[in-house]
Amino acid sequence: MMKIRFNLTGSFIYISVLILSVIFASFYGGLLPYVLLYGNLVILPVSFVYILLNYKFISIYQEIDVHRLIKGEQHKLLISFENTGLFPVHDMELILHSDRCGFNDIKDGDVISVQAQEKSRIEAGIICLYAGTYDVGLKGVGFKDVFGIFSVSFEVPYSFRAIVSPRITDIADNFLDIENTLNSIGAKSDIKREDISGNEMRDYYPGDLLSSVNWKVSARLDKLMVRIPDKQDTRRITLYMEASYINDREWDTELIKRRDYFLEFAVSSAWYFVRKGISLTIVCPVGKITRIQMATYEDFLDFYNTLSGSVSYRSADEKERMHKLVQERGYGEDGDRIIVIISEDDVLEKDFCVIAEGN
Amino acid sequence: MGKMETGSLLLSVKMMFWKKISVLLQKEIKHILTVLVIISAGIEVYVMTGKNISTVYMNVYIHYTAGFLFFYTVLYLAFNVFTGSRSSALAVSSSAVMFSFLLRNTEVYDNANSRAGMFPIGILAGLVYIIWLLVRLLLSFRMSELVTVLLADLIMIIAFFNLGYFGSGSFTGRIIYISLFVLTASQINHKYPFAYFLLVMLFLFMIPIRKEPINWEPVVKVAVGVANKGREAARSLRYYFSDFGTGTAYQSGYSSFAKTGNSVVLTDRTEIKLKTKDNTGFTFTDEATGKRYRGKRVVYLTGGRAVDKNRIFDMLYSLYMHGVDKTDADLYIRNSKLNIGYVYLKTGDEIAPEGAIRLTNDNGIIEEGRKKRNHKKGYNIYAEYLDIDYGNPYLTYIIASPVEDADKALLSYEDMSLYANNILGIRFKEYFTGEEYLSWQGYKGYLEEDIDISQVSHRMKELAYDITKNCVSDYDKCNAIEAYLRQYTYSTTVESKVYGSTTDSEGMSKIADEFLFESGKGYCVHYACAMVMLLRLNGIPSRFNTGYRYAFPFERMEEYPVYGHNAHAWPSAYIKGFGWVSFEPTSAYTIAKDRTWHRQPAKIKGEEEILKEGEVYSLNNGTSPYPTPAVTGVEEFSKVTERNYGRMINTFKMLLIIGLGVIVVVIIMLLGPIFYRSLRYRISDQRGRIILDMEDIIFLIKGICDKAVYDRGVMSDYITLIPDKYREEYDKVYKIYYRLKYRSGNDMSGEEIVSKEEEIITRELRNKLYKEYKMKFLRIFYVKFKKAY
Repeated sequence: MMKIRFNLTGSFIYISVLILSVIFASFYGGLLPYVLLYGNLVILPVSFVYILLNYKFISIYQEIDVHRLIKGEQHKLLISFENTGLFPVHDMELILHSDRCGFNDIKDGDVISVQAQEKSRIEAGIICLYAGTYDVGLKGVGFKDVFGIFSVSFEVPYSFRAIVSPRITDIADNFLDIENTLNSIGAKSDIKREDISGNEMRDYYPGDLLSSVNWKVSARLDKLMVRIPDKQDTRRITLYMEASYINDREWDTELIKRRDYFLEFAVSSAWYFVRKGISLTIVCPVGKITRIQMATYEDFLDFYNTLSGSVSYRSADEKERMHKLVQERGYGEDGDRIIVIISEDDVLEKDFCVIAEGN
Repeated sequence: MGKMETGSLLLSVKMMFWKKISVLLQKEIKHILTVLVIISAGIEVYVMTGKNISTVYMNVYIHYTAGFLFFYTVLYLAFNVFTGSRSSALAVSSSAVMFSFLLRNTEVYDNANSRAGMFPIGILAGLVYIIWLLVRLLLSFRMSELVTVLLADLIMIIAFFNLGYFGSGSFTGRIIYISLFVLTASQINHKYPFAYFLLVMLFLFMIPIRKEPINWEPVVKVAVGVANKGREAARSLRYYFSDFGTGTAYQSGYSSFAKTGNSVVLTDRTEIKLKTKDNTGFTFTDEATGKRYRGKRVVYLTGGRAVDKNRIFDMLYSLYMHGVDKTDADLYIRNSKLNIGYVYLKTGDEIAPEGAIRLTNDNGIIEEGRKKRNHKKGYNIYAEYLDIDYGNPYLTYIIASPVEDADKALLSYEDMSLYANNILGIRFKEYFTGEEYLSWQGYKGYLEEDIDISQVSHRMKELAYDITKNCVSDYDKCNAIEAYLRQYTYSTTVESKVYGSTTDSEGMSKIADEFLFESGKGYCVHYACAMVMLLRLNGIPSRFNTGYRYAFPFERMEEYPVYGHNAHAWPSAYIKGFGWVSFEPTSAYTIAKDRTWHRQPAKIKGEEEILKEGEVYSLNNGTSPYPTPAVTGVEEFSKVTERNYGRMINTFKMLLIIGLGVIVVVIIMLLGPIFYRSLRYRISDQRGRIILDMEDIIFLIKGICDKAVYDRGVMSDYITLIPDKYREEYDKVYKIYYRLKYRSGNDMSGEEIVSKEEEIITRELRNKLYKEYKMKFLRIFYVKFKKAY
């Protein structure tokens, strides 16, 4: 997309000079007045054409040293410029995604000149401020005309789309703790647990259930041994990640911030359960709605690595289905479970995270 | 970090050989231009000081100089690749000297023109170049450039003003000024690539330069044309809304007669347009001086009366009674025709010339003088009328000496018909019926309201008596009153306190009284009211006429516009034995006697003679002491019409040129990219062709699929968007494209990466998609067409 801005002072001076040259040519004929007049008349259109040619022939490529970025960590950004045209590019302004990235060594508004048939590159540090998938690095380039009368800015046609993983924090801990206590769910509740035969053994005492006797071990040791009963969660947990349906073109910094908070909350919540060794099912949109079982640390890592780049719906219908699932608490599929719903649409609202029993 | 030069952040990856050349050339072209300016200025000054060098040789000289400078520059660049700038400057300087000597004896110097005083080309170019190089070595580059350019600017400006149009028309002059402009502009932002300024220069060389200043006339004409249109529109608006508001001054015009008494603003909007094939002027010889004069015909157009048949009968009867024959009648009566077209007129009245004998419109004969509904713009009345010269002494004699005790019944319809046919040459019966004639015979000639003197003041009665106390006949009385009133000052600015109306006797009395005894000034309404009341006080029936008084211009015209300020009011008096006669008491206009046709019995031989220019004097300018505003307006109008016509043609021409220009630009804009693309495709190598094909394919896919596409620049995205039947082919093609784009190194050509067959696959897919794209739009067009029809 092209944007043109006029400089007030430059325009005023230009118009004044133009008027003077018109007046001059109205009273005198010949070369001097006409060259002045025509010269003043053509400089603006020619500037515009020159800028268009510059933009047409400048190729810009961006790359970052790693495939997956981590929020808050510095990475190396490489921007290459190649001028394939015949006209030099002079003082091209760099317009950066400063609202979502931090940069080292370059800043918004820096200028670069590239000679005809020249290749140049810039190396800089980039820090992505939010998790998610979005364009980073160079957003656009700007050109000024020779006398600073107007400037034209263009968006870079192929910007670099980074996948930034969220950080795992204690953002969800307090909330889940309180809910846990209030609703008496999960690890901290004694009520919702039942005894199961464990692996620990002890000697048989009169009164122990016959079923608890481990006959194999008893035969080997030649005395009666019973299993020590273990506690087991009566219910398991399903985490619903109800992401917003966002068209690719709608991504702006506000949406990125929202997605960042959402992902961080979701990952932190998952980590909250996983580190307690609680088995967790995550229902999240990865193109289509997918159920991910998570019991071990490795499961969590897999989930973490794929999460930031792939949370999306392939269609609006899919989003609708997700919303229905959340509203109906899983259609009975998670009937015996505790349901944690994180809704991106309600980020920073009261109902952002809800814990409930499945229907 | 503000400005990034080459350094740790901006690393120059590769400097191609011709990139160096491009950078150096830009700088060198700047130098060459500077040197060229100096040399060209030298030649111009040389020519201006009186040396006779033909333009052809001057141009040849410039070309040679430029050629040499380029040659030296290339040499300098070539040396510069291997050595430093000082050494290369030295090397080039010596070669310049050498070349100059070598070229000394070539035929260029042997021709007559060069012997006449032309400085040897090579030597001059070489010397200037050497000086230039030395200056560059001594001063810093920027300073030398700036100083040279500013000095050259100053010299050229002085030369322009002091040596006339210095350099205009010659190629050298063009080079000087265009180069100087570009060089000066480049000094303002000297870091900006000089390539841009070269582009500006290219455009400037293509633009024609004239010796005359800008001719603003066509623009002014167009602006005036637009302003006139705007003024006309404003007039229309103002006219149609003239009833609104409570201002004390009203605008002149026929429709404004209902409200009178106060100040009036003369307007020049066209209210009606007249068309006639008759002569609108006449010529005569003044017997006293022997000079020939030209006079203007004046027509009085009355509103709301239609054909006043009784008036015609009265006059014919009087003529009959005086034994007037055709020869006599021709002295002061002629049959005329006039078309009256309504323009901005808000009335239902039929406007017709006095003496009308038949009025028709597009629907047939007009019987009534007034319609309830207003006539629309474009309404036409076709009038046949008797144009009567009331100033003719023969006629005034008849008017002044009526036949007493005449019995109208004695002249039958048949006899009158015969008589009228004889003297007027008209078929009387076609115009007047027997019933109408009979009705006239029983009619006394005027209405009761024509003698109404109610509400007349005592002082007016006394005045009426005083004015006419010495008069014998009614006609004398009329003339006396007319003459008396004409002493009053004509003025359109009147502070009226009475708010009278011209529609009844009471209103007219008020206006007349105020005019005669209080204000002492007024315009036609005041004069007419006063005369009407004074006539009635003298026992003469009289009436108030409204309409227009129009004096035809000398020039024949297709149409004669009658303006708002031509609207007029005048009185008519019923003179026994003759009937109704109009008078002109308004001092701003001529009386009947002063606009007589001057026909004498001996000179009635055909129509008026046409005189040569220069022999003729305007009657009004020559003899009348009264101002004739209408005439002036008409003369001006004829000039204005011509000017408007000229403007219209100019405007049309300009619009045509602009239109053609726009069409050409649009065609260039539409066809240019297509041509450029096809040219690019033709000259591209295999790699370029495949890349172009791929660009086309992506464009066509976007066009074919109906979804909004977000272009991430990833070719595989399009697999879901392309029609199913091409999916497999596209899968191959985009992989070919990626292979070509990313596997290519500098040491690998396109042919090594992609086979000929693969190129054909890509092209074929593009062609198929193009057909698909075309079909889609044809389908859309077909559906829309079907829906529409």
